[in-house]
Formats: sequence, structure tokens, C-alpha cells
Amino acid sequence: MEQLNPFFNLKNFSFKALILIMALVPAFIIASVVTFLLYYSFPSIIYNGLNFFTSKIWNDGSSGVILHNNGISYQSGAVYGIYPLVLGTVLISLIALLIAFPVSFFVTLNVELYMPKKIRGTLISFIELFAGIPSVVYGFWGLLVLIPWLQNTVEPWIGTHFSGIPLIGGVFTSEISGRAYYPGQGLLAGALILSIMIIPIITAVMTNSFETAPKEIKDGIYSLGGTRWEMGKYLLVHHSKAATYGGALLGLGRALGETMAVLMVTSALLLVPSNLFSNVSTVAAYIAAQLDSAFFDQSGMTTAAFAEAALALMGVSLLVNVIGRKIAGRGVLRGYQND
Amino acid sequence: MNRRNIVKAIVFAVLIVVSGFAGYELHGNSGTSSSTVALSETGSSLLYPAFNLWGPNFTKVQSSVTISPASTGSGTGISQAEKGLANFGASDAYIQGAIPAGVENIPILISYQYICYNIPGLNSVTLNLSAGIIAGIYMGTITSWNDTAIQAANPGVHLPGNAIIPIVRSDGSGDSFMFSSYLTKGNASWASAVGTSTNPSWPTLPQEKTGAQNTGLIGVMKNTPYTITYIAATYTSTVKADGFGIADLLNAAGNYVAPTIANVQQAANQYLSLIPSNGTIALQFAPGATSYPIADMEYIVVQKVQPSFQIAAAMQVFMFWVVSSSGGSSLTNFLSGLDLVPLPSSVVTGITMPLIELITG
Repeated sequence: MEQLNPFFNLKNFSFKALILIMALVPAFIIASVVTFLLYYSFPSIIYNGLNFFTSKIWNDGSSGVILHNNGISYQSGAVYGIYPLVLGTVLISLIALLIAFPVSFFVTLNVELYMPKKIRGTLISFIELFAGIPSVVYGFWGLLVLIPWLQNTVEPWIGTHFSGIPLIGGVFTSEISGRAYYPGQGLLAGALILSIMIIPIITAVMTNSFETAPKEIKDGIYSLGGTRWEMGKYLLVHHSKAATYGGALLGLGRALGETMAVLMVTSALLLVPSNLFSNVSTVAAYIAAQLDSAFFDQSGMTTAAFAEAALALMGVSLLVNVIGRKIAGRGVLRGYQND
Repeated sequence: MNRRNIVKAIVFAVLIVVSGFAGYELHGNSGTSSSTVALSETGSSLLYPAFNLWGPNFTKVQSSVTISPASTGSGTGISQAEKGLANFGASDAYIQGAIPAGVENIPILISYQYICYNIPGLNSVTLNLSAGIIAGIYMGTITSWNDTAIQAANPGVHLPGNAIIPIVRSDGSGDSFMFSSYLTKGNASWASAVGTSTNPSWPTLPQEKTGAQNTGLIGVMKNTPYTITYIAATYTSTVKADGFGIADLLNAAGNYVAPTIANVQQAANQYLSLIPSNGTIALQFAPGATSYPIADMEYIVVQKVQPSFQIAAAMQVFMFWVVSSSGGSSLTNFLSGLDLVPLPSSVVTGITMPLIELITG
């Protein structure tokens, strides 16, 4: 056994230095991704300005006809706008949340209050398993099973029964040249797939907060004559409000950035949706679908525009996650990172 | 050994293994082992099945060279070949604009495209369509199958009044390039409103649908009646198995022609004297009585100067084999099965061979 120097030990120092460097790696990677996106999107930020978020057109311009202006290069006639994609992203994610939140709420109540202890553990692990399934698997299922079902059964049913409702009937009405038209592929399909993917996240946060709630509160409500339903509702809606809504925001964060499954059941078209069944696309899906085409633009502007779209998406996802974590509290969320 | 030392030992062992792999990766591409040269190809998903067949068959002839293909996308192929990350970049479209210094795109084959439709009851009938009609459908000015323009091109056919649902590729694609290039050459309003792109700025139609890759288009078309789309001829067997209709198209000479290998070769022959020495030309809408109007050359993009003479030589030998009618361009051995068309022999000797000869170490 070697003698330890009480004042300075080189081996000890170098090991500490090594683990310090290792510890900084994640921070360094995030910083370099942001720097890279800023650097690559710079020409697009200059060229497109605010038009990037308001225009409905994404046009790479005339292939090979490159113009130079004030130090930036672009193809003649190029216009880059992501308004329909932002709208699609927000709508798909919000509808997904609207479906997933109540489902998670009732799953939590049922699992925690009515289910025998033996089944409960198995069921919770089963729900958590859902979070680990690769999104391409959901997309594949969506493409082969969900879309034909929506197209032939669900959407016509919704269309027939709901399109007559005053004021909001238009949301459920889809027609081309006077005939009913149900695409299957689109807003509803994307939202359904996403809701299935975020239910495990929201449910995990809710069940966790339920289980960590003080026993005194549960006993107190029962002793006042409260039913199981009243106790559960009080816990989720009042006592653990933060975890409940924080969990929802985390689910939203995941929904905003989900790519593959959404791409497979929606489109890559810049369409502004006019009803629940409209074909739409999201920022993440469009980047994944069209990045290869950007490499045909030798001016590099199309790549820059995609980098700016990625930057915008990253900013929004980070914001939603940070707020979600703030509200929900850190301890509850360990292990449920956004992918 | 105390616990700290064990941790240290593990950390160092991991670092050594990782750095070893990193070094291996850095040198792997340049084929340092003295006897074999490993060449990498990436890009066009249309050409991927061809490279997948060519690779092992070429290694049978030339055991010292192996080819590893990857299907990534034409844009990625061009970009990685330009940066030297792959030896060959395969692309369905030539490089747009000025070709960067030190890079060349070399035509190797011809591919073509079908205009397919799924109209219940009419798929066994060959419809006549034109660039004007197809552009009208994709721009939203022709909306139903019994539109007067379609009816005028198909006298005697009872067309349904259902709305037309156009399908496009969701991914950036050489097929979209070929299709939009055909419409640009064949229809003035398409040329001014949309133009040619691997990601065309499709006019927004609420009924429009998308599919990823050719297989995705075929899947959507199968599930949705009254659709129309463009499908690469390399998917002939699937298209025929699914029983979609395949349109005859109006060519520059004013005739409706079928997509046959002979008609595609006829189209290429019209351009023989016009192909520039860098190989960059679009073959759509060729003159000639029987020329099929949607065809284009497929390209391999390479860096002229490769890391070594050994690699350059291996690339040349492979590419000469690819365009040889007794090698990779043999119709009976390879191309018929893939529904690709060999280059006319005068293009091989006059354009492709001189470009291959420029590759050096």
C-alpha cells in the first residue's frame, strides 16, 4: 500500500480531474448543439427574418440558380416559412394532451384506489413499459392498423354525427367538391398516436405523487366520511396539483418533439388544417422527411432554414420541459426524461 | 488493489478500447490492409437494390474489391461524396447548378417513372394523360376524374365523377425531382408556379396525401381509391401485383406512349448529341415519335482525387464494370430484373468512360 501524501496526491488529483471532465461532457454537448444550430441557422435568420414564422410557403427556389446578396447565398425565389408546421405541431400536441390527460387521470385513480395490490404493481410496470417502445413501432402500427380504421370507420362516424352541431360542426366536416372525404392520415391520427405515447409519462408522474402523499391526508379524508373517489380526486386535483399538471406538461414536451411515429401517420405537407381530419405536418416530422432534399441546394440556405426550424423546436421543447419540471418538482420526475 | 484503483483501471481500459475503435474507424475507409480495397457507396434508395446486387457479383470477378452500399437518399449521397465521407454517392438527379471543383457526376443508367392511378373498375383500362392534365390535378384546377380535359383525352371511357386525390412523396426524393422536372418541361404554368425540386413546393390541396418512399406511396394508393401518383419503374412488380392502372403519356411529338424500355431508350437516343461532357442533362419530354416523356439518367458522384491510387484504380475498375453491357449493365443478368435501362453505348464511350478516367489517387 503506497503512502498517501496529505498535501497533494497526483493520482487522486488526476482522477478527480478526470471525473470532473466526464461530468462536464453532457453540459458541453448541449452547449455545442445550441452553438451549432445558431451558427448553421444564422444565414436563414438573416434571410427570412420574421417571415419564417408567418409564411405558409416552403420553397427551395430554382434548383441550381444561386444568388448572392450581402454575404449570404440562396437559390433564386427561395421562401422558407414554417407557419403551417408550427400550427400542426401545436394542434397535434394539444389534442394528444386532451386525450391523454383524462385517460391518465382515471388510470391513476383506478390503479391506486380500486385495484388489488397484487395486480397494481404489474399494471404499473406494464404502463411504464409502453414508454420504452420505440416510436417507429407505434408509427408502423399506426400506418397499418390505425389509419385504415380511422379512414373507413371512425372519421365517417364522427363526421356523420357531429358535423351538424351548430358553431363547432365545421371542425368535424371534411369535404372535397361537395363529397365527404376522410383522409385517415392527418391531425386526428397523429394526435391519437401521440396520446398513446405520452400516457405512460403522465400516468407515471401521477401515480408517483399519489403514492408519496402523506398517509395522514388519506386517513383524514376517510375519517371525515369521504369516499375513495373523493379522496383520490382531492389528492390529484388539490394536494398533488403540481405533479398532476407538471406531468401533463412533460407529456406535452415529449409530444412536441416526437418525430417518427407522427411522420408515419401524418404527411410532410405545409397544409393549414381546416378540420379535425385535415392532413398536416409537424416541425420535427418535416425536418426528418425533407433534410435529404436540403443537400441538393448548393447555396446551403435550405440546410440553414432546417437548422432554424430545429432551433425553434428545441427552444419550445426546452421551455415546456423546464416549466413542467419547475411545476412538478424534481424528485417526482427522476427517470422520466423526454427522449 | 483498493477500490479506487479498480475504478481507475476500468476507466483507463474503457478509454483505451474507445480510442482503439476511433482509430480503426478513421483508417477503415481508406482500405489500409494491403490486399483488399473496401469501397463505400451511399445515397439514392432507387439505386440501392442495384448496388446491393452489383457488390457481391463484382467481388466474384475482382476478389480484391468489396462494395458496401447504403440507402440514405440522393442529397445525402451527393453531400457525403463531395466531402469524401463515401467513395461513391448515388443520386437520381445531377448536381444542381455549378459542379463544385474536384467533384464530378457520372451518368451510369437510365430510370423512368410511371403515372399510376387507383380508380375502382378502371385500373385495367390504360388512360391517356398529359403533362397539362397532371399539372392541373396537382395544382387543383382539375379536381374530378370526369373533368372535360381527361374525358377529351380518353374518348369512350366512362370516367367517374369522384374527386381526384393526388399523392406525393413525404421525403425529399429524386423521384419528386424527376416528376416535377417533367411537369416543368411539359407545362408552362407548373414551370412558373412550382418548378423542379427534390422537395417541390406542392400547391396546397386539402385532399393531398403523402407516402414515405415508393413503398409508402404504393401503400397509401392501395388503401385509397381515386388516387393518382408517380412511382419509380423499379417498383414495376409491386405496381403490377397491386393492379394499379399505368397511364400512357402524351409526348413532345403529340403521341400517347407506354412506359416501355424501348420507348425510354428512344427518348435517351434523342439527346445523344446534346449531352454535355459533364453528363448533366434532363431527359424528360424528349422529341421523337415514340419517346416516353418521364425518364432521367442516374448518377454516381465522386471526388476526382481519392486518398490513394489503389482506391482510385479500384473505383475505376468497378465503374467500368457497372456500365459494361457484359457486367453491371447486362439486361439479362441485372437490369431487366431491376427495371432499369442501360445507357446507349455512345453515351458510355463518349461521356461516362472519359469521366471515370478522370478519377485519380
